[in-house]
Amino acid sequence: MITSNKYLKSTLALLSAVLLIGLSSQNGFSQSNSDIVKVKSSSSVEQTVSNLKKMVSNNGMMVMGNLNQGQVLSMTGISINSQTLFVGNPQVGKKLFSADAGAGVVVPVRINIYEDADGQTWVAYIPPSKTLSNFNNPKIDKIAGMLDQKLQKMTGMIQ
Amino acid sequence: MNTRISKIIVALVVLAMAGISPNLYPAAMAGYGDMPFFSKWLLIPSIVIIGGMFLLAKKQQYNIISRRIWVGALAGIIGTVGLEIIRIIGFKMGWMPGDLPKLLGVLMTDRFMKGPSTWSNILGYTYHYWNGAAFGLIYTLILGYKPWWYGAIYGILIGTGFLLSPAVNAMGVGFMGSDLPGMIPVVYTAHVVFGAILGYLAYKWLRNNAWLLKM
Repeated sequence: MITSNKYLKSTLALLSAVLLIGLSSQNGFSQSNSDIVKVKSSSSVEQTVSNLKKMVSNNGMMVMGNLNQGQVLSMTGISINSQTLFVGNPQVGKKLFSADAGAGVVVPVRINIYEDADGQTWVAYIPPSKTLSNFNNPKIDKIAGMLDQKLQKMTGMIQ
Repeated sequence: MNTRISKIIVALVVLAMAGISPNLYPAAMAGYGDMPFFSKWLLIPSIVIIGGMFLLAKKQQYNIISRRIWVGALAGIIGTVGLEIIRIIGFKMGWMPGDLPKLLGVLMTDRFMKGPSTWSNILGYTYHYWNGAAFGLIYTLILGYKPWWYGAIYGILIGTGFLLSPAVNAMGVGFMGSDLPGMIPVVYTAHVVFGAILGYLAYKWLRNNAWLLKM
């Protein structure tokens, strides 16, 4: 009896461990890879940022901020070429924050432009429909769909 | 150099410099640069050059030019007061996408992510009023002696230019602001009021030097 209890406990512990490892790795995978849209750019990071700024305006959006992560991280000794644009517009902002005051956790939309180890420039973003779906609000989902289209259009123009 | 040619050169320089300010915000919104850079290297120098041209015109006794510069700038600033009244009412009613002078201020001081401050508001409003002065200068140098309704038509043209510019497009309100009911009437009303005040004051002041203000 004692032996079977021990066996049962061991089996449960093993199963729990496997389940936890499985869940955590699956979670990490989806957040770090599956939702990210990446578009190749044949230009440098700086030129791509400059081009994107023009495209943002042409698509009815504004660049609210430009975080030069490469410069910021140079203070830690790492050398990378990465910039992030924070993109939105007053109308979308008004609608999103009216629908949910906590929308700030995912907007403005981030577009990351970076150079990988092979010198290739990438434009990466997570579609707003993925991040905004967390609010479970049909009004927000509608705006998110519109933002997805705009981002797709913008990044589709990158050469 | 021939006095007539000198006067034309002074007027053309003033016109070119006055044209810089209203184009900076649309250019920045279109992604051709940023407002802090434009303000430092284009806006301030253009204002200084206009001031210099005014002093030169005064010194050389090109009174027709110096008066038009003075009258245009002042009438433009007063016209902007009229425009601002309409704009603020429109904004409070929810017919405008944003508070434009405050937006100009955060862009000029590069603090979009922090929001407006007293200093950014002062700069934003100053820039907005200077735009009025610049449009006033352009008006008086080209159409100064025309009746007030020329000013109103001039205002309609400025309003149309604004609605078609990247500045409006970037706000996500559709073509010419058509997605935001009320924006088009507010913009046109505000600019017609601006133009009418500008046209009226320019007409009065340029024809009668002593009317309300001795210049």
